Amino acid sequence: MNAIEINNLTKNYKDFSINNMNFAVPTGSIVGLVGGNGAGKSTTIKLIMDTIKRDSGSISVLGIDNKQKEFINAKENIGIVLDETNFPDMLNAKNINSIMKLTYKNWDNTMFSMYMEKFNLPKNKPFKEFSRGMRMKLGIAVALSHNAKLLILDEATSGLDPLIRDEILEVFSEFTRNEKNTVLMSSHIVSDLEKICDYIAFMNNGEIILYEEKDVLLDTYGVLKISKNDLQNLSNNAIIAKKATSYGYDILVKKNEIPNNLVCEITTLEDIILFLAKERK
Amino acid sequence: MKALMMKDILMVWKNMKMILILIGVFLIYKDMYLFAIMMAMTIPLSLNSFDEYSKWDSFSKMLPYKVSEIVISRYLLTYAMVTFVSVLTFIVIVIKSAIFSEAIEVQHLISLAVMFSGGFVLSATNFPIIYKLGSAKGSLGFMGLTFLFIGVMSFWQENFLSLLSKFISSPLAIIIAIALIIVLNILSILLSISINKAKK
Repeated sequence: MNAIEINNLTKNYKDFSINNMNFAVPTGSIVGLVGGNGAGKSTTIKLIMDTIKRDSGSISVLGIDNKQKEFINAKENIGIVLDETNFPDMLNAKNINSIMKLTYKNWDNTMFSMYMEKFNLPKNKPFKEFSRGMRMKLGIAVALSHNAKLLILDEATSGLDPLIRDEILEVFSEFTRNEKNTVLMSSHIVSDLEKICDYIAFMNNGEIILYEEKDVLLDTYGVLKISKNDLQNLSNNAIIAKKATSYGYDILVKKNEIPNNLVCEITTLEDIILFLAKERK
Repeated sequence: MKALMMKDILMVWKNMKMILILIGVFLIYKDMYLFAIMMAMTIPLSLNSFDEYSKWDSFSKMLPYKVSEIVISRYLLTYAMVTFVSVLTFIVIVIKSAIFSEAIEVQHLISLAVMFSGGFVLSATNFPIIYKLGSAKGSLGFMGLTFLFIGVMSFWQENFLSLLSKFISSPLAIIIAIALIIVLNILSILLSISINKAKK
């Protein structure tokens, strides 16, 4: 069962389009949507939440077509955090609690208070006096306090210091310990995604050019630093992307396609993504 | 809808105390009732600006609120503000006449009734413009229509008042006017909902 299923999704703007996208987020997993600015991550999330109109295709979320009237009820089970947490400046966390209590049928006061304490957030301080980290934490506390089954996070960790990011990533990991819970998380901080994601979808120019299990990606691909002469020993099938350097080439390869005498460098997800974004064949 | 109303009321209370004080000042001074109602009408307009600034308007569409609830809650708040200030105005008129041992001037009551109805008419005309053009440009539309309304009333004051006197002596005319205002507002709400849906 998939928490999100996107089939043949198309959305055209004047200068940008998502063309025939197919993509699924398996229930119980954490899927990272990675890509540069303007790759289409936020547009995809808006299309999933049906806040912008698609031109064609279908999207189902938690088993419900997002064009159906019932989708409004499905939203009860979706926790959403956007890159700029969007509560009005003059309100405080106590006010947000009162508003969300009337918004979500399953709103859990106790859980909200627990997260407020865990994140060390003040209840009476106006939102405008919150730092970016505090704002994001409040958004996350809200998203986690109504027993959501699906968390959708759009750049929820960007602009935060590493300590806060780590703390927040731990909360997302904890959330998916319940195997019915799912997270779709867009970010351009690949190291965050590498820490917690089960699957990685890489978007570029409105297209998902790679969607794979993270472990498979790390097992399959590697970066090879070789001289121009050694390049001739590599089969074309092995080479995914290459970059000329002063000593020869850095090459993203399929590990199982390279000769035994060549050894790949330790390769991170970020290396793979950067190669795919910049140097794809 | 309750959540959206709660949010708006909290925002009015926290952010617009100054406007509420000004409304109070306008109520006390004779012949400034109009400004009190005008101020009341600017509050929902300001809320729209705050929502756009904090991006609550796009965030709220991702929460379990229907577009119709988002729109209707804002209309209801405006109706509530106009009614609240009109009732306050009436109370002030009664108290002042009691303090100064004067009879309540019918002209004041007629003006109040016109302002009260005008509040509803202006809500109906302004909200679709605000939703279509956004708060910044919509505010200009709001100001334009409002000043047009006040200008026409002031320019034709004598004729207007004599026309109104005739008008209020006919119960049928009053019923028709009320019905027209209700229909205008229903149409306006439907139009605002469709503008918001089309914005996707």
